[in-house]
Amino acid sequence: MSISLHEGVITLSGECLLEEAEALSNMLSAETIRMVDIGHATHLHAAVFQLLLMHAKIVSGISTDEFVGRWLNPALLAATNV
Amino acid sequence: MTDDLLQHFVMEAREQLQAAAADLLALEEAHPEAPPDASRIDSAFRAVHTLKGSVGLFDLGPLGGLLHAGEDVLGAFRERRLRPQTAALNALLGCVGAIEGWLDFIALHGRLPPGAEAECRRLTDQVQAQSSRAEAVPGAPGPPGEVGPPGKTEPWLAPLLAREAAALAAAAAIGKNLVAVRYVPDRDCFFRGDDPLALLRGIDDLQAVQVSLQEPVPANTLHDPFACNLVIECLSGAPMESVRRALRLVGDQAAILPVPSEPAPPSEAAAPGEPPGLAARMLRIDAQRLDALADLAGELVIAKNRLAHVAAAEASLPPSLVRSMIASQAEIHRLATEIERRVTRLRLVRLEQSFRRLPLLVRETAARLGKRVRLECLGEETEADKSVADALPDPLLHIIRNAIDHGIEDAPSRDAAGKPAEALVRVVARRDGNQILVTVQDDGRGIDPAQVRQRALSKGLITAGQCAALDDAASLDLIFAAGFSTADRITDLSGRGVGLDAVRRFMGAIGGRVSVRSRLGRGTWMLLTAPLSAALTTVMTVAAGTEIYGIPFDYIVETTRFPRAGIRPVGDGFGCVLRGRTLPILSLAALLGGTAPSRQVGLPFDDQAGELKLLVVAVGDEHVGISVDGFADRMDVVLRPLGGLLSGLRGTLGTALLGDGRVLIVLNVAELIRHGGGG
Repeated sequence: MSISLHEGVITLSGECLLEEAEALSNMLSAETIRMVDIGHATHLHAAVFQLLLMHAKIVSGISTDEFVGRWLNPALLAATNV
Repeated sequence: MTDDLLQHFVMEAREQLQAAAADLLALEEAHPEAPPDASRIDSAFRAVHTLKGSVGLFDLGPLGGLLHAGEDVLGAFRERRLRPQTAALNALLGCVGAIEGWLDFIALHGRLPPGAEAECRRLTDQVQAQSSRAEAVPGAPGPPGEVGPPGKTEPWLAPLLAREAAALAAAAAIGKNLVAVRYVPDRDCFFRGDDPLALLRGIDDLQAVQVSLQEPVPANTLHDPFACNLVIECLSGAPMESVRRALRLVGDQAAILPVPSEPAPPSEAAAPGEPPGLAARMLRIDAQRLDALADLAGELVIAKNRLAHVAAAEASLPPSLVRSMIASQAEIHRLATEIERRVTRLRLVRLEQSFRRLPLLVRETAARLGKRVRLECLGEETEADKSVADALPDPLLHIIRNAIDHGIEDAPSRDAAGKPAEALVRVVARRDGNQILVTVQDDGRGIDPAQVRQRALSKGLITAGQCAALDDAASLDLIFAAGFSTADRITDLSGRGVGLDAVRRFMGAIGGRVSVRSRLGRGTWMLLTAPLSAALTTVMTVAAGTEIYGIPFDYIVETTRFPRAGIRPVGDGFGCVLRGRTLPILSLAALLGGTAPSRQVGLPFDDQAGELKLLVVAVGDEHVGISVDGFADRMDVVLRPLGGLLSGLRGTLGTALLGDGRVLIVLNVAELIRHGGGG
């Protein structure tokens, strides 16, 4: 499982594929979501990434994956627009 | 949970604010004609932006609005719609300073302190006034010639190159050619099974990446998660062919261009910054967990001591058993010491963090008083225990504020004295054995000992007799006395009744000391001494009557025996001459308010024969002899602060558990001598 929700924090882990985008979209629409943790995500599908940009929830965690951590993390940080 | 989140927020906020302050100060220091340092602007923007995001989690009223306004100004810097000039930087630094000041309250109460809301709105207005000066339309980024050759048909290239100037400079510095890519995936590309980010990942040697939304999505609108709305721009150091290959399936959606090679300014190449990936390798550990580990390591040292005690005390044990116990004790000793040493090292942090708030403080204080002051910090790489590094900023801020307020003269006086208009405050840290020494030096007017004596006398801090007997060094030390202030007027800054006595108290709390030297007309030196580590304390145990007490080794100058016949009455007490220096003598038992039998031993005239056991301790710059009933061992103990009912007990630093299970009270000699023991 690569998406989980616990106490208002969505945790993405492993490879997050297109299949996950719909579930994530539904979760993100909830008012109670405070934060999305991508520290354990090794890849974000463009659709998943786009959702994070659009919803601009606070993103925590720096992925240990070189690509995600170095290039996608900063963009999400910059987009967080609460 | 909520509380954890709040503490985490406050900790991060402090870091973000300090980072932003450092960037803003660097921008302010830059030459007004020079192009502003884009990496500094970016970094300040990120800090404020991140903070703004986290503020939304808490009920912090208008703070979010203030940060939003600050972000707008920084955004205008970034888009070159506004130059980072003094007025704008001042407004931003003012916000950073104000928010930093509120953090302690926020940490405790989870809301803004009283009055902060109004202040917040005032600051917001100030900042908004700055952003309103920005050009309404983003101008062409940078002067012509800075980016690609004129006539380039791709309008996206110039902004991309301007934004990624740091990456360009880094590549230019090593002679690397870059390829620029702009990839706008089709709206329905997800249905075809494309993952644009997977394709991006496939491009070798990425140097810069920006993935953004093609069209902004208004909040609270439904959007189709399966319609792609992304624009991907990147720079790669890979050959053109390789980049084309990676994007061959989406060739119709991607533009790939060589980046015109152009010499980059060398200064930008020199500061490529820390790669973001590095942060992931650092582990942030709650200081409390480390403390728990340090406590355990300390307990181990004590348990080991107890083993030696048992081996020595049990005469009935067979000698072979005692021998093997001692051997095993030696092994445990080695291991325990090693663990203790390593745990201590874990807690070491660079003093950099203690110094971080100083530049902002100097700037603010100097501006408020209309003085020009330059701050120099040296030895920031010196390491000290976290508890020490955490405790240092308060006394340092106090001393520096005091130096700028009272030490540094106004411009006409400096001019008359032939001093440069810009005053200097220099903070130097270094390690000296087991101690950290921090000096704060200013080139101001210095302190007049005679004036200090007079003031102390007029405030009733000393008697006329004492006043006459004080030498200059001892007079200067009076500035640390409670209720003393050298200011002729109460200023906004340091005249609020919290004097330098607070500094002495702060330092005392971490087992440190503070002393002062000054030359009239030339300046003042404050010396702060703190133990490198507050985890283990070396004490000497001494006896007063039947009780034993611990005295930290840091205080002890020497132990000696002195013939009772040589003790003379001096003023209200007793003293002797030791190595050409007059030494006041106090009895430990009397200091502690002990019972009659032990008091007798302390009084030198009861018995003219024999010798007095003296412990010579340094209190400030003064040496004092303390007569004790016996010296015992030197030992390393884990000092525990007094808790509960005893926490207010004056004259004690804490307690330690001895090998035989007894509790040792460790004395704060300086406090005992000044104020006596008790509650």
